[in-house]
Amino acid sequence: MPTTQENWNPGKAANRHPEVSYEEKERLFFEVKNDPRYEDFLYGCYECGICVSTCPSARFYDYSPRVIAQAMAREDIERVYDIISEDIWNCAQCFSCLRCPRGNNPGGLVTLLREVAVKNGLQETKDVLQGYSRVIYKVMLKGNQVSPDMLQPDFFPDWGPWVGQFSANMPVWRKAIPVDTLRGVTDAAWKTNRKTLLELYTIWFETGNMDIIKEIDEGLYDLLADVMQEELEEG
Amino acid sequence: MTTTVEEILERKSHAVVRDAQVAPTHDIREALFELEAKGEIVVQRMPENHVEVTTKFGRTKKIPIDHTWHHKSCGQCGHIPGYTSSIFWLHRQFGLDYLDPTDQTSCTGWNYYASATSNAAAQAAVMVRNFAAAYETGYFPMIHCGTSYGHYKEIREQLVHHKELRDEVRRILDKLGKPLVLPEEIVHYSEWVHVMRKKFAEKQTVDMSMITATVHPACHYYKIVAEDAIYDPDIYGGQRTATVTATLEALGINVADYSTWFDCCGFGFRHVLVQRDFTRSFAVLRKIETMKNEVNPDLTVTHDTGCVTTLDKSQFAAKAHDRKVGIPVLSDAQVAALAMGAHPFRVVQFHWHSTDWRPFLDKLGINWQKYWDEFQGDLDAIRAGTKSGITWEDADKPVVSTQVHA
Repeated sequence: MPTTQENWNPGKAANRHPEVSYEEKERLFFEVKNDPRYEDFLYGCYECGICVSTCPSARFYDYSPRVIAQAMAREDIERVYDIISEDIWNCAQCFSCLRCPRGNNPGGLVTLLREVAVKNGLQETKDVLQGYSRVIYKVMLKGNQVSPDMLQPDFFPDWGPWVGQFSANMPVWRKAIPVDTLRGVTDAAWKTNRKTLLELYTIWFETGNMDIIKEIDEGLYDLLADVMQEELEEG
Repeated sequence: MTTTVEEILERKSHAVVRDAQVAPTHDIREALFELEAKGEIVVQRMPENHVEVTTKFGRTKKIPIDHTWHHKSCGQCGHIPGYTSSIFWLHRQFGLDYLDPTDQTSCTGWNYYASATSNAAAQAAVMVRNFAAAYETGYFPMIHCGTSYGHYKEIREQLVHHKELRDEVRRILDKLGKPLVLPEEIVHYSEWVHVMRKKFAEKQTVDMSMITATVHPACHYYKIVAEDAIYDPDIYGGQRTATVTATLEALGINVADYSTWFDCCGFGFRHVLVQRDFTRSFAVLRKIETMKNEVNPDLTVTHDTGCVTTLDKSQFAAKAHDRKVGIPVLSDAQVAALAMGAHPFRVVQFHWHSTDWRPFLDKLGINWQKYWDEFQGDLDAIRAGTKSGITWEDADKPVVSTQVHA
């Protein structure tokens, strides 16, 4: 479509989410902006595009770290709502955008935006993270993001036939590792002692991390809280 | 203590000068010692046996040689166990004192970067709990994962800059009966590999001079808190980090350059687990195929969990689309261990890698079938219950040898 006087919008973004009030969008924006880390992440924007040229997500998605820095700096409430409800989950969090000559950290801004999206239980965020719950369960309960028993052909079909071999041979192959803390362990990356796991659960509860999980997935929260509280009570 | 716009522009508008006196960023370690003097934190000191290296802006960084507490990587231990066993095997070849702890959790940074289902206080408390566990033993933390390393350095900045965060973390650590302790340096294992590289070469038993390799520098190693990564004027003119490349060169490997070296691998944290169309596309189209087209290496080498996983596992599906793939992927630690004669399966654990590694071993002149048969014997004994598992006793001895060129 050619750019005309009518469709050219040099100002702030149009309201693409009329179902959400402007006040709510503004509240979310200021929740991001009031994070103590915000002022370390955004210093303005030259619009030079260096962040975009280094961004892996910009190559494959309709996504731009420059737009994020711009929208935040201009306090474009509508655009920021578009970003928080959609764009942020495209970021690969590689932090290549730290190459910014102005010293911005668009990847860091995405982290703050994601935290606010999760904390406020935005529906789009719940949808994005739906298939990811089992990973959250693992990391919060075991203190490891991944474990050998996750190497299942139905979970990683595109990794080739070897995944089937990993899975079929898992108990024996894991015993054939000379590292003492790994040998024979299949449900976690390494052996972690119980006291350490209890300390980890205490951190999740004390920092409000469990409340965050509750906001995003109540069923997952119930599962985790049951196990952790029981373990903590046993001491 | 927020950096001002003027300071940022001053830093970015001049060529990099490797002179600590005029380094454009604050030296975070000075801030740590100031906080310690005020009684706010404890700083764990570097072991006596350490080596000094130069970082991006000419500052000195201390790298411990031994007496280290190994902060393992969940991705390495979970899916690429030969990565972890190679790191420990290298320590053992020199009789270096180290701890492989069970009171360590992962940094949980992978999940944080994937889903943000956490917050700054939780992430900082997880880090400090691990550092406190190391401090209690007297051993100095050495971080295996590039993401843990970058994440921890960023959290260290946040703890130094934000008193409220320090207070909150201290409150939580008090509940755990642990001090708010930070190490004098945050050290990545590949920095240890870097400073040990010449000693590795002295013990090398496998000639690698016929190998051409590409290097993928890990984003979270040198892009996050960039000034803390090792740079060396003799490697890429000091314009890129020297880790990995210097190690491979010390082992006689020809390191070939390629145009997309700065690109990430495509890991994406959440993407690699539940949205791999992006991960696969990026890894193949921007990294593997570019390497293949430009230098056709025998191997690509990196120094982080996610990079090894992504670059290795993404190649299979691309074959269905007739893409140019087929480059085996290893970590620097695995390459060094192999160069020093480590068993390809008991130590390096090639069988957990997906892209065909056999042509690489063939080119090295290593009869991998012989070692695979030996390993199958181990597995048979484990299955039969006559052996509980492979131990260091089985794995410590270097077994592979080819002619090493002078």
